[in-house]
Amino acid sequence: MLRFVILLLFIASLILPIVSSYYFNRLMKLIKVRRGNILITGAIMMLIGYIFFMLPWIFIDESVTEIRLLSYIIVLSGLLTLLYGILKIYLDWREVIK
Amino acid sequence: MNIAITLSLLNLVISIIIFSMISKIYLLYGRGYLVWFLFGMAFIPIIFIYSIFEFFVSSSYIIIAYPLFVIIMEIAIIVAERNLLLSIREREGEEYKILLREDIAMLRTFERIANYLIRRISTLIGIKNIEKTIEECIDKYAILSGIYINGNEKIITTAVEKNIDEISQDERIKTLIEAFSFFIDALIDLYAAFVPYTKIAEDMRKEIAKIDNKITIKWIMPFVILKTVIEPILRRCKIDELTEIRISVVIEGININKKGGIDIHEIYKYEYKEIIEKLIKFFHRCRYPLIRIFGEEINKEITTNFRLLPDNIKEEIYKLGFIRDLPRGILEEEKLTLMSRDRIIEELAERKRKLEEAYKRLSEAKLDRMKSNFINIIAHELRTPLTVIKTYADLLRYEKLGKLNKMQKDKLNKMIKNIEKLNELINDMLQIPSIDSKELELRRENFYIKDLIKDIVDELKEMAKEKKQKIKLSLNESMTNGDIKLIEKALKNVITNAIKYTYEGGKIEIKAGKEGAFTHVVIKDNGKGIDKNELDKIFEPFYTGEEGGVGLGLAIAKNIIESHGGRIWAESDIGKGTTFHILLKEAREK
Repeated sequence: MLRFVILLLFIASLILPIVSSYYFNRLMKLIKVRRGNILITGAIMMLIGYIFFMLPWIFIDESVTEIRLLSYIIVLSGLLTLLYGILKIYLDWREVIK
Repeated sequence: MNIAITLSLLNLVISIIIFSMISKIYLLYGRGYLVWFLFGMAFIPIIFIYSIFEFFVSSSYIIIAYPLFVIIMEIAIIVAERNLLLSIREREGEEYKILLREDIAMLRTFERIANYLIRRISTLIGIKNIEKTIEECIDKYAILSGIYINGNEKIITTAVEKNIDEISQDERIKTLIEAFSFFIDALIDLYAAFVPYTKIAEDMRKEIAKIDNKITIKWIMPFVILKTVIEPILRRCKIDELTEIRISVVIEGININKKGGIDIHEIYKYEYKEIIEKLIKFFHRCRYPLIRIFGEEINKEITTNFRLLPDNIKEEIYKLGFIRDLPRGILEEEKLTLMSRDRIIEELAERKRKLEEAYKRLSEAKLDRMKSNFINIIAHELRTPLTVIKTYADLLRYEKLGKLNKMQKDKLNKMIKNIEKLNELINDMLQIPSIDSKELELRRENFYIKDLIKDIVDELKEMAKEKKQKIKLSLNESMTNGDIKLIEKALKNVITNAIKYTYEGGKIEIKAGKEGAFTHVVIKDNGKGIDKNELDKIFEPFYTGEEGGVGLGLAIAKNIIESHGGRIWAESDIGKGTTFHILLKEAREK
């Protein structure tokens, strides 16, 4: 039962990024400041890290330390990419709003 | 386990940094949708805090929180994206002006103008005819493919947004304006079949006035000028008159049709500079046929039409300043204003320059005053304790406070000698003009300059001897009036300077004699000389040459000489030496 609930929530959390990317693509087509690729890369990496983190729970109902570590590393690179992207956006916006 | 906690902590730190950066962006710009981003991003640190906590709990239920957190985070981000999208799409949206791409902003403007015209035309000829016109436009310009009129009789240009992306970024704006000026032109032609053109021009002005995107204004300006300034006049012309105008005005990119309409879309094939040149050329070429048809009054009408243009277009025209090149009789007052504006700008620039200069002088003077005050205070403050030290030193020297041995006496004498040197320096400092603004108190008397110079040279002989220098005197009888002690000091300073800056074995010549109402003293050395640019500076306080020193000697000499109504200056040749000239007033009676 618990695995079923987790699976349901996991699927829902995978569908929502698709909706998000739809809006994101539309935004990127309209917007002057283009740092979308960096943000998308960061977000995808974090999503992959999340999938890795969740998979053992879904398939074997427990955490696997090695996979957990791997997921943390992937999320860490995703976060660093995101940080770079947000920093760039911050600098770009400062120029645009000036 | 430990590595996992460390990684988790690291992720937590980075996510907190990201969160604080978005918070900063939010605080800076205060945009509503950023609150949702902020809310969504807040879940990343929460997840990592939770993951650290989860290490210490064994329940498997705890895992449910992860997808739940992720879902909440994703929903918040989707809401933020949606809000931002709306904000960009809506003309009143807070990000419309700031973040919307220039070409998309232009597309929106054309969409709005087209909808305005369609609203009016549809009641007159029906939507079907407008759709036919749209098809014709699409046939000519592929970029327009996909536009259609929806059930609410509004044109939808979403397809153009995709079409634009297939064109290179540099060409997008030009392609858009070319296609849409053709399309708007076609709609205007339809509208003009039922409504007087002056009314159409008026409607256009109102719609154009709403444009706030700078790039759109820049590119639409030639279109608006021709459509609202000249076309209302051309539309009144008869067929033969129009033929005459068409023959006179042959400019590539601008065509006058049989109804008096101006087709301008092809002009956008050219560079912007060329477009403006063509526009001016158009005004010049159609001027004479128009004057022939309507008389000189036509200039007034063109001027009035220009003045009726919306402010945003007028601003662009003024910015480019091309009205100067318009034919005579059109916008004459504006040309004058523009010229006087140029003059005002020049005058303002000149005033700014003068002001900056004055400010610089003021700050220099202020700095000089501060320096003087500072030295004045220091000098006065030093003098009092120094007098006390000197008194006690004298008491010790004269053994009023007990007997001293030989060594103590020697050291004490050295001490007193240095105190005297220090006192002398302080007195010198207080004699510099910029330091003590009070005039020197002069005890005037008549004296022979010859005797005074001889005394000084006697005193400095040892110093010159040390450097194996020769001092040659050529002194005539001349009685001078002044404070002998001060003049002695001034001359001594100059001669000392000459000895100091002349090489070993060098020669110093001192001449003195009458020259009109003055006594002229010349002190010449064959030292290394002073650079011409430095000559003015040598009389400034604290200016020192390579030999070092305090740099007060010449400044004091200048102050003393000038206080006596005299003059001091120097002439120099590098490598040959320096000559100092001193003019002092002669005594009135012997």
